[in-house]
Amino acid sequence: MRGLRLRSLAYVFLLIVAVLIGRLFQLQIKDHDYWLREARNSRLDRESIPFRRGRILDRNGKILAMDKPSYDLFFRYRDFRRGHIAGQLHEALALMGVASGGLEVCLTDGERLGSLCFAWTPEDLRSLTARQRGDLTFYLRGIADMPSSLWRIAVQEWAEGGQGSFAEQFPQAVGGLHRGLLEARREIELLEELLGPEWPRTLLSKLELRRQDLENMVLGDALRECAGRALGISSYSLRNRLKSAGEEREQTLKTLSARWAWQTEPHALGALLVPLDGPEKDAFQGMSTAAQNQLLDNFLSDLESNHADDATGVRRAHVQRIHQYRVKSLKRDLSFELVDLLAQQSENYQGLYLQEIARRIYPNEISPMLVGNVRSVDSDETSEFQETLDRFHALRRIFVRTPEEEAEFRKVRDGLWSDALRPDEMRGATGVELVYEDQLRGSRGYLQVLEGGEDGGRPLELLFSKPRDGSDITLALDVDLAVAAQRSILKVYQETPATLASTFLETPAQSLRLFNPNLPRVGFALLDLRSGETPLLMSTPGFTREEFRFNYQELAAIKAGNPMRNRALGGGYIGAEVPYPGSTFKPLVAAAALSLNPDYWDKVFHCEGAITPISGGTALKCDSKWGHKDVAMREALKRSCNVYFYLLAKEIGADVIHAYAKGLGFDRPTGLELVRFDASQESAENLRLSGDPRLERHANYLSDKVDLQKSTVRLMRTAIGQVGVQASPLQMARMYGWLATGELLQPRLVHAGGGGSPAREQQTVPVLSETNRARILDALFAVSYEEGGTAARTGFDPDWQIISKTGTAQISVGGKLQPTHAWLTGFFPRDQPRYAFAILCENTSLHGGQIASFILKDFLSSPEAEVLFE
Amino acid sequence: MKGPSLFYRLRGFLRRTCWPILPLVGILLTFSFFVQWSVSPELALPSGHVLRIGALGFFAIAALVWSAKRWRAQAYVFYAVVLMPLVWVLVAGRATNGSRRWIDLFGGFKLQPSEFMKVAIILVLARWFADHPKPSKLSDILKPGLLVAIPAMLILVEPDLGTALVFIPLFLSMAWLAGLPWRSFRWLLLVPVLLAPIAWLAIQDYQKERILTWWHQNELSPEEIAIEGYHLHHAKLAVGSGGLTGFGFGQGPENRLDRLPERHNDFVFPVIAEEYGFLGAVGFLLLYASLGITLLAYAARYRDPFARYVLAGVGIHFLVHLSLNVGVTLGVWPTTGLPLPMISFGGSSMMASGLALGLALVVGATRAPLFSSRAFES
Repeated sequence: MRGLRLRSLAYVFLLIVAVLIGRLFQLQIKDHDYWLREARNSRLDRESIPFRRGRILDRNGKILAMDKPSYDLFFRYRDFRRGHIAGQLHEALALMGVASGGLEVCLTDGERLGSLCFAWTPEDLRSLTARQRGDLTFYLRGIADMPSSLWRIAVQEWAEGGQGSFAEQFPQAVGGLHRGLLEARREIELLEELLGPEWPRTLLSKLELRRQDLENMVLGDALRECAGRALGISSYSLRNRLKSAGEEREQTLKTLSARWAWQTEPHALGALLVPLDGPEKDAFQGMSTAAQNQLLDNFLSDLESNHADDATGVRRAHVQRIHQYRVKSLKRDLSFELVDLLAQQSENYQGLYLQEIARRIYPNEISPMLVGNVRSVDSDETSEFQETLDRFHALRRIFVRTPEEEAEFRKVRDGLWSDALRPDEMRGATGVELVYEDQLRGSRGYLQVLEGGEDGGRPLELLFSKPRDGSDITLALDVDLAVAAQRSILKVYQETPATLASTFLETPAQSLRLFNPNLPRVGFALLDLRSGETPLLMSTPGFTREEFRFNYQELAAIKAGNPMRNRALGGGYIGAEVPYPGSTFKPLVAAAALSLNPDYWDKVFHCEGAITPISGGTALKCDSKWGHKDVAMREALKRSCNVYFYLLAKEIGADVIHAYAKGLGFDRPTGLELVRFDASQESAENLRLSGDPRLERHANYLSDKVDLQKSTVRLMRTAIGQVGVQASPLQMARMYGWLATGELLQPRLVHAGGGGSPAREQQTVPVLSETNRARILDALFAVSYEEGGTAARTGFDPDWQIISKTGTAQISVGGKLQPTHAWLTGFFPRDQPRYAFAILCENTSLHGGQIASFILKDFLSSPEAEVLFE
Repeated sequence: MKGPSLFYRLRGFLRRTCWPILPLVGILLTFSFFVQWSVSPELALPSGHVLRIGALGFFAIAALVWSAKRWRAQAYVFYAVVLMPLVWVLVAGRATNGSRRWIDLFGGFKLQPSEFMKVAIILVLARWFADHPKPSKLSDILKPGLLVAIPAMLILVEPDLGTALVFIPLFLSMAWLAGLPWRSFRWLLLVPVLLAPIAWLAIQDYQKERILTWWHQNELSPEEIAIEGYHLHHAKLAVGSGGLTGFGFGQGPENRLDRLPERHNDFVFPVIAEEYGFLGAVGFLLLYASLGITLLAYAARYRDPFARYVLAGVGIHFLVHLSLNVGVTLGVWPTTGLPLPMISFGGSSMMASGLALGLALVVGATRAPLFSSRAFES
C-alpha cells in the first residue's frame, strides 16, 4: 500500500467533506434567508375568514337577499374508518374478505363482529400482503381501544409471527371493544336525536350509503386506470375513447378483452368501464349500488390476481385519494345544538365535520329574476384559480426574487388570500347578484398563526386581517307595492266576470273562456318620474327559487303562462314575447303629427268603423263597429279611434313616426342596469349586451323605416301599435314619462345612492312643445274621467288625476288570432307628474278599460300605495 | 514473577494502538447522547440510546478478546458466520414496511445482519489483500469482488439499497489501497457508471421516484413536496433555517414540531444543523471526518498489511457513511436509508461500529508502530 495512495484517498474524502461544507454554506449562510422564510411559511397556518356578501334591499330596507351563516355537516370516510369503531370493524372484516353487513350492522352487532376479528390468528393473516397486515393491525388496535404508541409494535409483532388469537394475546381487547361500542352507540343516539325527526334513516345507514357511493367511485376509477395502464394511456384518454359508440370504442374494447381474456362480449366490458347512455347505462344504474360494487370488485380482484402489471397498487391509490378528498354532504343548515355538540366533542365523531357556510337566502321572493341567484364557481373559474395558485407557488420557490417578481408575488399572494374566487365559494349567477358582483362581493380575512411560534413553542398569532364584507345594494323595488300589486291583480281577475256583467253593457257576450281568473298573466311597471327608479316591476305568474332549483324542467315545459318570462321587461329565462302596445302607442303618433303641424289637433277624419286600403286586402278595422264618425284628435285619443290614426299616419308619413319612435327608444332595450350596453355601438343591431341580457332579450322592436315607407298598410297598423312596433310595459311607462315631463328617463333598478349607476347616456329625444303636450294630456285625461273615455268606467278617484290610455293588442300566431292583450298606460298626477305606469294583461280578450284599469284602481286604493301620493 | 499491572498493560496497549480515536469517539458519543435527547419526545432522557452506547462499548471490548492474528486467521469464518444470518433474514426475518432486514432475538431485541456484514467485508478484504498484495490487473480482484458482491446482492434483495451502496466505495477504496494500477482501476470506476442503466431497470418504482425527486428538488410542486419530496424538503428547511449558530438545544422548530421524519435515525444530521447552525454542523463534520482521517493516518504507520487494511477499512467505513448520510440530507445525493454510525439511533449500527472500533484498536496494538513515512513503500 503506498503512502501516496493513502494520501490520495484521504484527499478524496476531504474533498467530499469540503463539498458538504460548501453545501452547508450555501444552505445555511448564503440561502439562509430563503430557507428561514420557507421553514416559517411551512409552519404558517392560515385560516381563512369568510366575508359576508352584501345584502340586496328594497327601497325601504327590507331584505331581498342576504347571507345567513349556517353550518353544514360533512362526512369524510377516511377519518371515519380510521377513528370510529364501526368503520374500523367494517374495514378489518373487509380486509379478511368477510362481509360486515354495513356500518349500521357494525355498530348494532359490534360485539359479534368484534369477537370474529379477535379470533383471528397470525396464520389467518398469512394470505395478506405486508401492507394489508399493517392496515389490519391498525384497525384491530382501534377496535380494541389500544393506544397506538404503546401497542403498535406488540400488535405488529403478533401479526408477523406471534402465537394464538388476537384475543388470547391481548385479553384486554374484549373490554376495549365493549367500551368502544357502548360509547359509540350513545354518541350516535345523541346525534340522531339532534338531527331531528325529518332524518329519514339512522345516521349509520346514511353513512353506509355514502360509503357505498365512495366505493363505487373507487372501483370505477380504479378499473378505468387499469384499462388505461393496459393500453398505455391515461384514464382520461380512455374515457374519451369509450364515451361514444363507434369504431374507436369497439377497437379499444376488443384490445382490452383480448389482453384480459374477457370471457363475454367486449361491450359488456364497456358497460363496466364507461357505459353508454341508453339501455346499457340504465341496466347498470338500475342495479343497487351494493350490487354494482360487487360486480366491479370481482372484476378488479380478478385483474389484481391475473394481471398484476395493470392493477398493482391501483386500488389502494384510489382508496387513499377518494376517501381523503371526496367529502360527502349529509345535512345542511344544522341547528345550534348540533353544531355545539359536534364542535365540543369532535373527537367522538370522527369523520363528521362541520363546515361554516354563508348560505344565501331570499326572505322576500319578489322578482327572483331581477334580484337573481348565486351559483358555485364553474370549471373555467376553477381553472383560473388553479393557475393563480400555480403562479403563486412558482414565485414562492424563487430563491431571490427581483423587485418585479417580489411585487408580483405579493400581489398574487394577497389576491389569493383575499379576493380570488375560490372553488368553494359562490358568485352571482343572474340578475342583480350577477351584475353587481363586484360590489356585493367582499374580501376574505384571515388569521395567520405560526405553528410552534418563533422558537418551536406555543403557536404565535401573526396576522389578523378582518374580512371586508360586501357592500349592500338597495334596489328601487318596493316589496310592499309588489305585494299590493299582486293582491290587486288576483282580486281583479277573480272579480272581473262580475265586473263585466254589471259595467259593460255594450259587450255582454264577450267571451271569457280563455281567461283564467286564477292564473293572471300580468306585467306591471311603475316608473318614478323624478329619478327614473322603478319601484314596481311585477310579472305574474312568478316562481320561487325552490321551484327554480328543483323543478326547473317542469317550469320550462309550461306553455301558456310560463313563469320564467318577465312580462314587465319583455325578456326572461324562457323565450321572449314582447307584445304590441296597441292603442297605447297612439299618443306618440299624435305627438309626431303635432310636431309636424299643430293644426293636426283640429284635423277631422271620418270613421265608419273600418277602412279598406287602396292596395286592397283585409279591411283595417276600428274598435267601434259602427265607427266614431267625424273625429278630431282629442276625441280620437279619448275614444281610441283606429281609423283616425290610420288616416293620420298615412298623411304624416313614416319618417316622423319612425323618428319619434326611435327617439323614444322603441328600437332597443330600455337600458335598465341589469342589461349593459357597449356605449361605442350605435345601432340596435350592433348592441352588445352584457350583465344579464336575457331580462330584456328582444325587448322593444321597431320596424325599419324603409319597411314603413314601403307599406302604407304596415305604417297604418304601426300607428295603432300593431305589427311594426313591440314594446314592454317598462318601455311604455318610459314613453308616458316622456309625455309627462318631456324627458326620456333611464330606468333605474338600483336606488340612487344605493350602489348603482346609470347604464348609458341619454339619447336625443323628441321635443314636444308645451301646447301640444297640454293638448294630448287633456285628451288622455278625458280617457280616464270623461264619459266616453275608454277607461272612464273604471271610476278612478278624481284626486289621483290619472292620465291614461287603454289599449288592446291583437295577437296572431301562425295566422290564427289569439285572445287579445289588454293594456293601460299613463301617469299621475296630471299637474305634478310623479309616476308613470304600464299594465299589460295577456290573452284576456278584454280591452284595457275592462281589466287593466281596474287593477290600477285597486292598487292605488291599497294602503301600501298611499306612499305614492306623498 | 508477576507481570505488569493492568494499568501498565493498558497504558502499553494504548500507546501502541491508535489511541487518538478514543477521545474522538468519546466526544462523538457524548454529542450523540445530546442529539438523541433533543429528538426524543418531550425531551425525555434517551435511555435507549444510552443502552446502545453501552452495546457499542461491549462490542468494542469484545473485539479485543481476540488478537489481530486470530482475527486475520478467522476472517473468512467470520464472514461466513455473518453471511448466514444475511441469508436467513431473507427467509425468516421480520418484515417491516415491505422489507426484510431484521432478525428477532430474545427479549424483543432485533438484529440487522447487514450492519455486521460491513465489518465482515472490511475483515475479509483486509485478509485477502494482505495475502494477495499488489493486484496488477482486474482479474486479480475478481475474487474479492465476488466476496463483496454476494452479500451486496443479498442486501439489495431485502431491499436495502443504502447499505448495499456502502460496499461499492469500500471495495473501490480497498482495491486502490491494495495497489491496483490506475490503468486497471479506472475501468473499475466505470463499472458503476456502466451498471447504472441496468440498475435503473432493476430498482423499484419508489426508488426511481426518490432519484427523480432528488434530481428535480428545486422544481417540486407543493403536492410533490408533500409526498415524494417530504423528507428532503424538510431536511433542507431544518438545515437552511439553522443559520450560523442555530436555534439551540431542543429548540429547532422542525425537530420540536415533529416535522422532520426519521430525525432520530437517517435524518439526524439536519437536527444538528438546525440546532447548532453552520458552526456546529461544520464542527461536527470535521470531528467525524477526523475520526476516519485519523484511522487512515494510523494505517500508514503499520508494517503489518492486515492491520493497515483493517485500520484503513474502518476509517473508510466511517467516512463513507458520513459522506453518504450527510450528503443525502443536504440533497447532494438521492435519498437512501443509511444511518450515521454512533449518532443515529440504530442498535445494530452501534454494535457494528463498536466491533469496528474494537477491531481497529486491537489490530493497531499488535505491533509497535514504525514512525516512517516510507513504511508502505515496497
